[in-house]
Order: sequence, then C-alpha cells, then structure tokens
Amino acid sequence: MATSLIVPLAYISVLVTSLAIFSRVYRRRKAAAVKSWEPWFPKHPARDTYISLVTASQPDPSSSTPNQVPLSILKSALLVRATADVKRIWRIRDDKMALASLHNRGLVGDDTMARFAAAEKELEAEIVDVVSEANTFRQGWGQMIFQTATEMAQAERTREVVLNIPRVKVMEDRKLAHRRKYVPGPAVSHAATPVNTPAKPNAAAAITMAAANAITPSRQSPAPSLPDVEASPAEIKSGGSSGASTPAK
Amino acid sequence: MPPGMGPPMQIPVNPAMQTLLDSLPHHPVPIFLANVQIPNSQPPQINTIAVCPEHKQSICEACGVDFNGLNYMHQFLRGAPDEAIPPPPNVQPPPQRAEMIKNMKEQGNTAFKEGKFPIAIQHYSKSADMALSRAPWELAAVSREETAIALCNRSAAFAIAGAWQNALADAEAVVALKRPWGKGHFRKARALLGLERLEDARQAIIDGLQFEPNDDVSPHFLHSSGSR
Repeated sequence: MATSLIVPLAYISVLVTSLAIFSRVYRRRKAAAVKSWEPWFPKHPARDTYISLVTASQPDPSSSTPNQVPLSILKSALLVRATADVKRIWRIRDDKMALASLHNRGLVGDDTMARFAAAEKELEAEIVDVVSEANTFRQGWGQMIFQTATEMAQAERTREVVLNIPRVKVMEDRKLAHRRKYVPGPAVSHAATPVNTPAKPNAAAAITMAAANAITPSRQSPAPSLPDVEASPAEIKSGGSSGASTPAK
Repeated sequence: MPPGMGPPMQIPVNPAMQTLLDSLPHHPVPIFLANVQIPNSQPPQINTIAVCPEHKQSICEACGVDFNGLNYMHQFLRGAPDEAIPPPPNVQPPPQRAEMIKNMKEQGNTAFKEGKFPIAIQHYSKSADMALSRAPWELAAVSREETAIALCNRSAAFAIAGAWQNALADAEAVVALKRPWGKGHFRKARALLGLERLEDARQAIIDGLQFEPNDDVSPHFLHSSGSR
C-alpha cells in the first residue's frame, strides 16, 4: 500500500544520496583541474632557503647542540626572500597589464586568467608571510622591509647592467671582426686592435683590467692613423663638441 | 617600473589566506653553513657562508642552489648586533662614501685633462666600483646616478684613446641606466661613429634629441657626421 511512510522516505533518501554523490564527484574534478594548472612562477628558491634555515635553527629538544644558525644569516635570508618577492611584484604588475589587453582581444583564455589570479593571491599571501616573519625579528620591521627590499632590487638591477659591460664588449669585438672581413675601412688601425679581455670577467676589477689591456694596443699602433688622439686638445668632461677629435680621413 | 610600492601593511590574516599559505609548496633546500677564515685579517675573523653540503660551493649547478645573494647580504649584516636591522631608505647614510666617489671622479677628470687616459680610466673604474659596493639598502637612485656619471666619463676617455668597443659598451650601459639623459646617447653616437657605423650613430643622436630637444651640441655633431 502506498500510504506507508517508507515510500516518501525512500524517495528523499535516494534523492539526497544521488545529489551528494554528484556534488562530491563534481568538486573533486574541479579541484583536480585547479591543481593540474602549472603555477605561474616555477619556484621560489629564496623562500625555500629561508624556511629551511628557520627549520634548521629551531631548537631541537632531543639534541643537545645549541642553535647553530646565526641570526644574521636568517635576516639576510629574509631580505633575499623579500627582494625576490619585490621582483615578482614587478613582474606580476607588468603581466597584469599585458594579460588584460590580451584577454580583451580574446587571445588568452579564461584558464590563463584564472592561473594569473591564483598567482596574485599566492604572492599576496607570501608578502603577508614575509611581513609577519620580519616582525618576529623586530617589532615594526615588517613595515620597512619592503621599502628596503625595493631599494635592494633596484640596486641589483644596476649591478647587473654594469656586470654586463664586459659581455657587451666581447660582442662588439666580434661584430667588428666580422665587419672587417667585408668592409676593410681606413679605420682599421685606429680601432682598437684585438684586445685580450679576460675570459670570465666577473668582478668590476676585471673591467679595469680589461680597460687597461684595451687601450695599450691602440697607443702602440702606428702614429699616422692616430693624429686625432695626440693633436686634439683634451676635452672637458662636460662633453665639448667632438668636432675637433673626429678621426682624419 | 614604478620605483616605490606601498607595502600592504595592515592586511589581516584571515583563515583562507592562512590555508593558502600553508598550501604553498615548499621544497627543502640543502644548505650548510661553513665557517671560513677571512684572509689577511688581524685578529683573524671567521665568516659564515652558506654552501651546498656535498660540494661546498656557494653556487652549485648539481644541487641547483645559488647562495651568492645570501652571502653578499651577509657580508653587510655580519658585524651588526642581533637587534640591528637595515635602516629604511629615507635615512641618509654618512656622506663619506659620496665624498670618496666624487673625489675619485675628480681625480679622473684631472687625469683626463692632462691627457693621461689609462690613469683616468682607472680612476673612473674605481669610482664606479665604489658606487656599486655601497650597502644595498641605501637609496638605489643615488648609486645609479654615480655609476652612470662615472661610466659616461669613462666612455669619453675610451673614445679619445681610440678603444671604440669599450666606449660603446660603457655608453650602452649608461643608456640602460639613465635613458632620459642626452649625454649618454651622445657618447653612444660618438663610439658608434668611431666604429664606422654611421646609421646607428644617427639613430642614437635622434634618440638623445628626443629626450633633450634643446641640446645644440648633438645636431652639430649629426651634421658633421652626415657630411662624410
């Protein structure tokens, strides 16, 4: 007889069970899709270094050795981590503008935008983490650490430009040698003859050495091609016109 | 790139963010702190540097670690007491360093005027080195200016001495450091002219004129180069 209580109860339970199963399967698929995305940044070595150092410096109750990691190392690691985060902030800002315009034109899909949004959230969480870690060293440092890190990141950019100079010089040497094969100009002797720059210039001192090596050959090259060097009056630093020192042809 | 960023100071840590933080992957990094003695120091000082445990290198391809940044920063923080933190960038550093850098540059200028170009180049190089080795937490714009000026003068010295590739490399660096500066482009054009690359030299002059339209040295240079 249909008037028993079993039928509606059975109906409701079957309904609820099927909906529960469906929702669990659907959410698991969605979560798997999220996890299968490639993260925006490959990895964050500065963060890993810092966390490894902090875990290494935790006082170990089982062992008797005291804390081996000096505080200055931890602070340096935190500063390096903050600098890496500042560089990521810059990249995210640039990428955001680029991605917005690309997305407007439809060249970039929604999953890329979702990946980017996830990366932004992670970076925010990372910044908050750095600030709180900085506050554990000294109360109030968290406010300043990102200003310090910004300055450090810019200083690193300057240093990269300067350390790139020897590489540019080697490339220019190669270009000139290549050009000389096809365009033997009268300027062959007044350009610096092949200079022996050190192979791996890594310190700025090497730039000085390269400089010293570079100009000695040209000073020794035959006189008639260098009338401009000896004859011209020394230029004042404030960039006087180089009309007087153009090489004679 | 905007130079400064307001740090998100007062973000409350909500549980969602906390879980996100905990879910970020962490790969433990093999690190080993070696104590090496600094050579030529009296009394002998011990320096702690971070190296990889197996090869004892600070940059190790096999282990995939790069501790140079960490060690470089540690040089500066090593002597400080435990409570010390790097000062914020708006605190002015003592001016001795700026004085020394300027003195080096002036010495370079005097050597330049006397025609002793190798010495001038050495002085300018030293000035650039000193500008680069300031403490990293100081204002970066200052060291950038000083480096740009030193490199610009060095490029001029190279150009007069005839080492055009060096002059070009230095001028490229100056332009990369300070793009809106007309003199940097002028030096680049001068070096390119020495290398017989006339079209590139004209382009460099035009770039410079974009930033400083009131310059009157550069157009003259452009005409004299165009007459060849």
